[in-house]
Amino acid sequence: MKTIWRIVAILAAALVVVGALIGLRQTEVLARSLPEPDRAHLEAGIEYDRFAPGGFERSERGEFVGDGFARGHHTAREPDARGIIEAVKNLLIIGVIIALVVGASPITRRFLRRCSPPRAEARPPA
Amino acid sequence: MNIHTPEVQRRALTNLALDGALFVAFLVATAPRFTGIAIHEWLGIALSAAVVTHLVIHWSWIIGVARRFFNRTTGSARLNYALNTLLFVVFTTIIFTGLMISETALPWIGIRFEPDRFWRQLHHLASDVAVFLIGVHVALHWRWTVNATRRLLARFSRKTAAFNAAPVLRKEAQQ
Repeated sequence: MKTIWRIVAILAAALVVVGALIGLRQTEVLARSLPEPDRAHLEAGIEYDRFAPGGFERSERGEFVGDGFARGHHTAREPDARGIIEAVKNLLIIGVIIALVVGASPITRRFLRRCSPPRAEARPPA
Repeated sequence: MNIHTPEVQRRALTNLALDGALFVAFLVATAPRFTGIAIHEWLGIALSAAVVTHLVIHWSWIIGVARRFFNRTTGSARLNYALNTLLFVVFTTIIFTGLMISETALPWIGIRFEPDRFWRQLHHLASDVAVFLIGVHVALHWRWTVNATRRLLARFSRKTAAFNAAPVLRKEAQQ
């Protein structure tokens, strides 16, 4: 029973986020801040998403990919073994972040210790 | 309290296995070209269930830190809590926007939404942010991960040694 209530609480929190997202969609605050699709692709009648991973590299090389979303939901219908490069790339990014954070952790810990409230000093036994 | 009781160890190893599976599933889900769109979408839905399980398992920590957040808690716990909240928001965004642009999973149950560039771009943006946040999340739990993995490997090697030694011992006992 306790687990069910916990799941309900998590789903309720998720609903709050979803509500906020729908609200943002309605106000178009976020829509304006998101980048416009590439003009060349729009002119070709294809909505090309620069934000799709892999899309950036393609546009940098100046290649026009006629099939739209590079990673996205048009070309990726069928599995392709070459797509594993993307997972490896993300693993490398995560690895670099871990190395940086773990490497910097002694400095961070010293900083966080300064921010945390002072511990109650142990009183000498009476 | 003894933190090395078999019960605590068993729970830590279960957590490690679950978190490891979650990490691998997330990594695979970030490469839809590798899996194809159908697996990508179903994996994403399964991931959302796994994230809920992860949160339920760590519920006592979530509630404990939430209660002490503005009073007495360590800076690292506060940082962890803020990061995890952000991660929750980002994951919810990924799952929701993923459902909004679904081409296989939702149409399969008869729900179809109009294609929307906004949800699509937000989905990609949120997944890029998630890669970064997952990196920081794993890094903040790195020591625990390494220790739990060592313990798991030690247990595995002990079991393997016992398994290898069993026939020899049996033979010696027969003699």
